[in-house]
This record gives sequence, structure tokens and C-alpha cells, in this order.
Amino acid sequence: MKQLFLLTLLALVPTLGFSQESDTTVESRLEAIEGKLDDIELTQALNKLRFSGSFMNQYESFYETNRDTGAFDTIQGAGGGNPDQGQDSTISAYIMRVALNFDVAVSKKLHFYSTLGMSKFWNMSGRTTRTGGDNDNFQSLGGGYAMEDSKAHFDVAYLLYQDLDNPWAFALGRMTTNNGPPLNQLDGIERSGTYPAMSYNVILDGAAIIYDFKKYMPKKNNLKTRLFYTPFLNVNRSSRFKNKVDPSGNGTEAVKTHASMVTLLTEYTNKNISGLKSLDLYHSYYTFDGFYDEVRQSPLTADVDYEGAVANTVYLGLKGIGNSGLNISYTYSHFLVRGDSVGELPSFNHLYSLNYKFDNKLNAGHIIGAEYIQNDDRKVPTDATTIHVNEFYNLTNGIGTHLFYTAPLGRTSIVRAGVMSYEQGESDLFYRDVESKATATYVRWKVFF
Amino acid sequence: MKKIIYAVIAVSFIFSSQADSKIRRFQNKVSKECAKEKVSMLLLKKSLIELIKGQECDAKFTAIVLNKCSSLSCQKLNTIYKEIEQVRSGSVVGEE
Repeated sequence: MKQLFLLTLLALVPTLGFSQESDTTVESRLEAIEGKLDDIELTQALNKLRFSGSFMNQYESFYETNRDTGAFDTIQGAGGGNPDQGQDSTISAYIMRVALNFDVAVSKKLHFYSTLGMSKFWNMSGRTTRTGGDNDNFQSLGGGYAMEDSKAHFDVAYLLYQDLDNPWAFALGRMTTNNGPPLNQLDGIERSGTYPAMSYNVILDGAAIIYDFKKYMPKKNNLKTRLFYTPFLNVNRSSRFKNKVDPSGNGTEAVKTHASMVTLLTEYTNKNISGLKSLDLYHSYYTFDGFYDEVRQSPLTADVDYEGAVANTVYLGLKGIGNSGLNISYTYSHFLVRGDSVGELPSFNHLYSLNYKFDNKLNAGHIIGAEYIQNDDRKVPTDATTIHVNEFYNLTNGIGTHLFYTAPLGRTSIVRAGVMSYEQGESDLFYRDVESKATATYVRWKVFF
Repeated sequence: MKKIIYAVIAVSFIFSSQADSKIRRFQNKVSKECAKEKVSMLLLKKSLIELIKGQECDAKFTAIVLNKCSSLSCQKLNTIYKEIEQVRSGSVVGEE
């Protein structure tokens, strides 16, 4: 390549006015150019790191009214027996989130991606997000999105082996499973996460195999499968095993150290439909068993209660409807939670998303949109990485609406303002005997660099 | 003249691996918009440099790209640039 440049330069020598100079001068100049090219090449070879990031600040005003129905006040253990949860709450919060991406091209086929992330309330540290504190697994699923303190967490750290001439790809590590569709559309950006958000909006560690069926598909159609193995581990530092103490005082029972989780994500995209920019149809199936949650253990029995779930999620997204900026998506998710003490509990959940991206001179790139969510009584929390005080994406036995407006500020930042309101009823899965209504108003400014 | 030659050579090296995925994404998106006209890789690289530097659509090489590709407007080019700038590589597991 470099020789080609030098030959080109040689051809250009006359036009540069070198022709009147001696051969020695020309040679010395070419040597100087070659030296500078070597410097550039060397710098390039040594500099494999690519840096990028984002910084977001948000104000959120949250108001919630609660009414304690008293339905589960007398139930002992497993989250029951929590009277007096009827107080209202008003929160005015300022939150920040920073993400620093350090990506390395280890070789042509091997890439390392990493993100150091942090989120917190202004001038506050040590917040816990759920009653009794997040357990070890939840803390990992949320990482630096937990709005906990100023410590940076690796929210991404994975290797990707991909040969562009080969349909197979392999990933290993802490992967970008969160912030999936349709959440990216709120900011008017491309798909920014792997799993559909209603399937599991969390960060998962593990391994993945990806297969691209491109060569079998018609033009402008694509089919991909991504198979993930992401087990939950329970290992204590001191005794290595977590133990559940027998309430009768007859010793302890060790908690299983390993709960397997497997996810199969199948994605079909068609960009060859008249009057439509693209159609995305994703199906996510995952199953796990043997999941241990400390706060859901009954103090009345000696046995460890394990839980698991089977989840099927279908995401249908239509982009650029009628060749306009109109985008619509619908996500349906079905969870079947199963546990030693709770048996099998199904839930059916829906998220509708609609937005319009303007493409005119007055407000090019601006987005106006709405979301509507409806979750069943037994919906387990699946969102650990949206930055909000409110629990819009984690509703249980509730319905909610979200109206938003997003405006780009130049090419490198966006402002989004929105109103989220929702209602939640009782939940027998969590023994929550509170009916609540909430409204949250927020404005956020996110800068990309 | 010499500066231009240096710049062209430097750009070729700088984009060779580190920003490969970014320029590839930029190229793919522009190519989709300009299905009829072929815009050269070198021109796209020069245009991307101008956009990274914060220059507008009337910048030298960006203007040439827009002129060559009739279906690509300044707004669309800005949108493409924003998309590649605001979504990091590797944000979907298995996609560079």
C-alpha cells in the first residue's frame, strides 16, 4: 500500500516543482515522506483503542399516592406482613449517568468492547432500590445503572470473535443485553441493545453464539439467531456457599451455587416492503431454574425456595411507515414464573410504542411519541437499567402511559422531556397489598462524545 | 499541495482499522441512500472528517457527496452521522 503511495508521489513530483531540483533532493524528500508515513503507521499500529461515551443529566418530579388494602398484612414471610404502606410520596430528583466506552480491535477478527458506567442521585450515595436491598444477582444485572453511588462499574466487558466472511460469531463476557428495542426509538437512534426491552432489560454475563442466515435469505431480508448462556451464580467469599439457616436451629442448608439460564433470540428483518423502511420481528425465549432470592425465602421452613421462569417475548417493529417518520412497535411477553412455594404463575404483558420523527427544515430529527404498557399481576421485574425514579417499565398489575418529546441539540446531544403516569394494583406474587397511582415528569439532556 | 497529499495518506492510515467499523457503517448507510450513484470510499472518508470536525453540509467534500447523490439531503446526511455517532459499536451482541 505504502509503495503505491510512493509511486503516486513519484508521478506527482513534476507537478510539485521537484523537477528542477537535484535527484538527491528528491530522494531526501521522499525519504522524509516515507519516514512520516512510518510514524503514522506506527502510531496507528500502537493505538488500538477507540474511546467514546455519553453523559446524561436528568430532573424527575415523581408523585405517588398509595392505599394499603391490608390484603396480605397477616401473611408471614416471603414478603408478606407489611402493614402501613399507604403513605404518599413526592420526590424531586436530579440524576446523572456517565458511560465511558473503551473498545479495542485486538485483531481483525477479535474485538473487545467495554463500558465503564456510573449513575447516581446528585450528592447522595448508598441508595438501595428494593425492600431489603438488591440481592447479589440483581446488583449485577443493574451494574452502573442502579443510581447507587459514584463508583464506576463495568457495564460492558466482552470479547467478540467475528469473521465477516463467516456466518458464525462468538461473544464472551458482560454483554450489551440491555437497552434493546424499542427504547432506542425514544432517543431517535438505532438499536442500542440486544434483548427486546420487555424481555429482559438487564446486563447479563455469559457466552453467546450468533448465526447469520444472510446467504439463505432473499435480498433485503435477514434472519439471525443469537443463543446465550448466562447462568446466575451464588458463591460467598468466606464459606463459598450461601447458607439458609434452619429456623428450628438444626443447622443450615447450602444454597445451590449455579442456576442455568439459556436464551434464544431469533430476529427477522425485512427491508423490502413497499411503503415501509423496515419490519423487525424478534422472538426471545428464555428459561432458568434454581434462582435463589434471599428476600423471598420463607422464615417458616428449613428448605431453600428456588424460583425459575420461562419467558416468551415477541417484538414487532414497523419503521418508516408510508415512507414517513412514523414508527410503531408492539411487544408481547408471556412469563411463567415457577417456584417451590409459589407453584406456576403465568403473566401476560404488553408494550405499545408509537413515535414520529420529523424530517423537515423546522424541526428535523425531533421526535414526538407515546408508550402504553399493561402488565399482569404476576409480572416479575425485568428492567434494571432504565434511569428513572418511577417504575414504569416494571409495573406489576398495572397500566401506564408515557408521552415524550425528543429534540436533538446539534449532532452530539439530545434533550428529552416526558410524562409517565401509571396505576398499580395488588400483587399476590409479591404479597403487595397497596394500590398506587403515580405521575412522573422528567427532562434529560444527554451528550454523546 | 504537499499538505493535501499528506492529509490523504494520513486519512488512509488513520481509517485503516481503528475507525473501520465507523466508516463502514457510514458507508453502508450512505450507499443505501445512494443506491444509483456510487460514491467513492475516499470521498466518504473526507466527508466524515469534515462532519467530525463539526463542519456543515457546505464543506468541500460533503458538498461533493451531496451533489453526487441526488437522493441524499443535508438532513439525511446529518441523521446518518448522528446515528453512527450516538450508537456505539458492539451495542448489539454479534454486530461490530
